[in-house]
Amino acid sequence: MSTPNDDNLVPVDDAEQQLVAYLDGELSDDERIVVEARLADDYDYRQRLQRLERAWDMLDSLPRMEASGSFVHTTVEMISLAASQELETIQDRRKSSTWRVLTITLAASLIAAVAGFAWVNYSATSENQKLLTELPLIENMDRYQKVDEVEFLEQLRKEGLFVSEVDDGV
Amino acid sequence: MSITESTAKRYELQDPDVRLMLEVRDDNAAAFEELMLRYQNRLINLMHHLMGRREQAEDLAQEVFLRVYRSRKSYKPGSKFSTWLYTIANNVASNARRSMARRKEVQVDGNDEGGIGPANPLDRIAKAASGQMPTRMIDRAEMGEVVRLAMETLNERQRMAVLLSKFEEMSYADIATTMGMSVEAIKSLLSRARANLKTALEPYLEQGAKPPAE
Repeated sequence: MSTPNDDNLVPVDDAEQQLVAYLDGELSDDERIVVEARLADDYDYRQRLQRLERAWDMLDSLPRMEASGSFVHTTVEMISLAASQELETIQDRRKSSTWRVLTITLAASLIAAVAGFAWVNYSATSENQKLLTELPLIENMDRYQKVDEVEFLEQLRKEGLFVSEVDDGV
Repeated sequence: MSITESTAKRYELQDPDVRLMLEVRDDNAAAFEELMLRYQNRLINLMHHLMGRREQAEDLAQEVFLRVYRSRKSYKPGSKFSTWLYTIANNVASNARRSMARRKEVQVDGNDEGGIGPANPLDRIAKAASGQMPTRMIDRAEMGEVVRLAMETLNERQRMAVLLSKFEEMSYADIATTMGMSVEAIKSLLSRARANLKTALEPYLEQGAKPPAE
């Protein structure tokens, strides 16, 4: 609630404010009785009231305008246009919303597919990696099965038993 | 501020225009047309006296009705229909004044004086008053012009409050709701406005000139 700072063209005292409120029928019964008692006794106060009242009555001379005959018709047309624009906007929103849902669904499917492929690919690759790592073991599985302990094999290697099997391309 | 069901019901029962607006909310075109017929002249006159431009008044009144239509689905009666309508009108007028100010337009009066004569309305009133012969009654058109100039001495808020009080016979409480101010502020605003009008019209009050009867 702000009070305009340019409302003070004419200083207004409390008495004037009470008179205006009295004319507007905005006083309580007690306030009205006080104003009427003063009006009965105070000529100047009565003059102020009459001037306020006369100035107020003069507002009846303000020119009055009539709406043109087409006012309602043109307003209804304008509103119809606005309504159809609203409808278009709603339809556009629905369309774009449908497209958005489709796009999101498609993107989600694509992401899921890529993620699935990546997972499968990773799993397969890690299986192959494991096989590659363990290839020497697999190749010599038959031999290892005939041997009870790794320490025995280690001893045989130290004695140069596997030298001939080193594939160095020479 | 949320509107309770009991408040809404009370206004629906009290105010036939509220009932019409509730029908508008349910997309009843005939009800909307009826509201327009009831308020078109009042709104146009309000806009005319607020903005001082005859040609702008209908456009602004149309803008108000357009906003009423657009607000229909969210309408819930928390006051008399007229209070709600004039709140919209007040906002539309404020926006129009702001955009006019942005365009640096000078407010032109309704009868195409074209800026002839003193720019200050009070000086123009004094000039008009000096041309009066004390013995004759000034005619209604002249008086209308004098009063219009007197209205120009008021600021926007004073003018709005005066128009709502005088021509819409709104209470201080309703004017306060419409203008988003307190009842006390409206009381002060209106007393200043009426004091300003009294001062502006002093030459005519002195001569005892009265507008002739219709």
